[in-house]
Amino acid sequence: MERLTPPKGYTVTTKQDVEEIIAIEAELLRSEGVDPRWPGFPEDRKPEDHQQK
Amino acid sequence: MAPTDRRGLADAVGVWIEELRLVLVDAGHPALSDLDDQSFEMMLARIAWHEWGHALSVVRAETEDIADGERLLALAPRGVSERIRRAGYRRSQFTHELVADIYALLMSRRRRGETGKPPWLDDRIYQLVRRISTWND
Repeated sequence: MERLTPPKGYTVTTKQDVEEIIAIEAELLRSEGVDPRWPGFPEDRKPEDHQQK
Repeated sequence: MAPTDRRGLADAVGVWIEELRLVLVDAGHPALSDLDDQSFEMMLARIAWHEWGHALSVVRAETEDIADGERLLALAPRGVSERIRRAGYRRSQFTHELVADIYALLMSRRRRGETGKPPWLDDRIYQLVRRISTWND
């Protein structure tokens, strides 16, 4: 079988990383007067469907 | 696969596997646990957009774009560039990571009805992301 080149994934290791990503995006959006709250997708299923709960 | 590569991959929340043309997202990653529903969905979208942007960059970025990574990073919003530098990517990956992150931010912004070049984004980076992603907003 052909060997694959080891990919480098999206490095988000800790909850602090996630909080930082969300905070950076919110700061950029706020800086141009955009509401940073996530608007969701029109076809969203109910939130409780996701596997984290 | 070398142990360091394997460790890095195990820690990643998402990855683009070029040879398989596949984006993998680890929705059960510990870093994503305990998020409220909105943040969880936002992060899943963010990861998917980031990886798709990464895929486009890997295929479409020119040699000069890759070589320009350090300079482009210096033009990026501070929070974005700091995260990329801290994450331990090689210099040859700076452009791909930057394109991926900015693409994800533009998509997130578009989801909120905002189009065009955001005021916080340097025009050289915006033009690069437009060229690579054929972004037409």
